[in-house]
Amino acid sequence: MIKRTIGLLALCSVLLLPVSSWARDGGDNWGRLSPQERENVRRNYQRWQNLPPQDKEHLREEWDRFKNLPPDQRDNLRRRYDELRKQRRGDKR
Amino acid sequence: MKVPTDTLQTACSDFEEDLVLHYYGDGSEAERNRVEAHLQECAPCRAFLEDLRKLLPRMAKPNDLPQSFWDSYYRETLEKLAALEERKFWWRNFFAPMRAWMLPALGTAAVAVLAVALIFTKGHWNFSLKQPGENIPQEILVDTNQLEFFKSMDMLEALSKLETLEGTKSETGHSHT
Repeated sequence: MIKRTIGLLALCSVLLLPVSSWARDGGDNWGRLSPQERENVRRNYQRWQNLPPQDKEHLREEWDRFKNLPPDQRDNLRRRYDELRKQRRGDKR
Repeated sequence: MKVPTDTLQTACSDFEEDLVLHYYGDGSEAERNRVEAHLQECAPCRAFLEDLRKLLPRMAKPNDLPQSFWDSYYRETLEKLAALEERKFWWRNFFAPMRAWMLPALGTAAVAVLAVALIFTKGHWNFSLKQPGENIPQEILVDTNQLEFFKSMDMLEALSKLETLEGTKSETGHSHT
């Protein structure tokens, strides 16, 4: 009786594993970032905390606007930003 | 007046064991004859054998105990065995009051509750051994949109400029300096 119950619970636990990993996915966003991206997020979050409310509001609006752009435009803008950033780094050197 | 005692008379040390065997009828014929011959000439050994005849039947006589004693003995033995078994499997006492179907039912219910909890707390579990983002609230770490926002914050600050360069800025969009 006890053995059967323990076996049943073990089986249920095994069946729960996919649910558990699914639940973990939500908390693993941070784990999927590269070290550079994490550093970037950390730095931006610290900057964000010191921004005045109107700048925060503005950035939120820009984010909403950016998200509503067509995907190809978003990609172009990201690509352009990366180019400018690399260019700026090259100029500094 | 002689007071009867339960102590045996002293026999010759060489014959003590033989006398006991003689009493029980053990030993070979020659041995028995040897002991008989000794007994005829040794009074202490005769007294010892006499004492054996008096005392040994009393010692060997089983006590005739009443049936109630054996019933009680049997019951007490069963109770002791049950107590021993109970100590060995003490954890069974937790489940003892439960009916046979209750344990699997409760186990299944517990698993179901766990599943529901996992589903409704999606995103709030952090089993990862990786170092979490220092000073970044958990609600940001688990929210893909928020993380994307902070990843893109540098670009957002230059979004208007980028759009101007790209020539994609909409007429309704506002400028940022």
